[in-house]
Amino acid sequence: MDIETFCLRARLEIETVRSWIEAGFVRAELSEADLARAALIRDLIEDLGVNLEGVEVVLDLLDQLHEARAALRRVLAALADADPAVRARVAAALRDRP
Amino acid sequence: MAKDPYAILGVPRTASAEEIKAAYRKLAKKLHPDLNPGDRSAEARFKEVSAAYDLLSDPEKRRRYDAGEIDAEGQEKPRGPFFRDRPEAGTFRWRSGPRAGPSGLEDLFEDLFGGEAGEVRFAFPGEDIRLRLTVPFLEAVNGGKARVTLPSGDVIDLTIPPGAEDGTILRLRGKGLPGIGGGPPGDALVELAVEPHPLFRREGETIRYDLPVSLAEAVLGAKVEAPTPAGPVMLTIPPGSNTGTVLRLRGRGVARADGSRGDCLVTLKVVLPPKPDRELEEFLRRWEAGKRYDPRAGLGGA
Repeated sequence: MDIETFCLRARLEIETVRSWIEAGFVRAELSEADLARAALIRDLIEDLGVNLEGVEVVLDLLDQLHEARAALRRVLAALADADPAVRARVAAALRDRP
Repeated sequence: MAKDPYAILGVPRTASAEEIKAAYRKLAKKLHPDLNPGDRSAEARFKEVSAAYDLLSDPEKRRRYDAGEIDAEGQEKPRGPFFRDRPEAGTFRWRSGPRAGPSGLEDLFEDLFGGEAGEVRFAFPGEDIRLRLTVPFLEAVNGGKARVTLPSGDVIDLTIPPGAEDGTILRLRGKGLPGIGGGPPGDALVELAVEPHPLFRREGETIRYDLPVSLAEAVLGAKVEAPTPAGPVMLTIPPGSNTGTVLRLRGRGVARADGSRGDCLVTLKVVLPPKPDRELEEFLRRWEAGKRYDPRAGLGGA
């Protein structure tokens, strides 16, 4: 989407969004995912009192968390397709390792 | 009736603005949905807390709430969309820089496969899908019905709740991707995009617009028909009204869940006839009081 629409929907100033693109917080393509990400950054700064250095750390950790969740989802999907005996072994192993 | 915003934030009614802000920040840090990607209940709790903060952080709204002029409902600005709900969230780490491993979980996966056999079912829920639905302004304000086609081809008749705001997310339970291994299906999240209206503007549950009136109607007073989202009403323009005079049409604004409505605020705009009128010109030439009045007195500026 264009930057004007983006700013309107994200309730942000154009200069702010430009600086966030520059800082690598959101991508220049400004997709729906970037909009949701910008809303998060706005909340972090305006509501939670996080400064720009902190935003960078939060985004990096969140990205890692989402990647990890996606990876885990792939494992679970692979397990679901696997032989029931394999699933049972996995479940038992998980039970044994709290 | 919504809960007491002071109770939601856990502050006394005498709390200072700083105390309210601190209480909100403490809760928001725990409850922000993007900081709780796996907890579905976080969104509802976060919205409750941020609605309470929106009300109490605005001195005017807080005063009116304390005075009992407004209740705690319908005051919040829309929250979200949340990054965690984007399907791309897991693939977003496009930024450059050194990194130890692709996800930090690969090492754990090797440990997953081992142990003894046992008969346990392995099921987990399907993923949520996201859709955007464009809603005409009045349907969002008044509530209405809309039809959405899901990626699966299913057609769903959706109820737009009265007073729905831009960015509101409606959750269709079980309409997402199918569950895996017998797990429940995910949900379809429909985000509403409310179209602007050529006349009405919305501020929370208040509707505002400019109503053109003639010079005679403004000076002498009149009864005119005024459009509102709840249908046209007869509006009494008091004598001596002016451009900028604001008239309140109580209960003709944005619909609430309980069937009541916010107000409609009409700003009058005096409009002269398009062509100069000889009689009016003659009158103004000899109208001494009118010549003495300086509308720019005390304007300041340059």
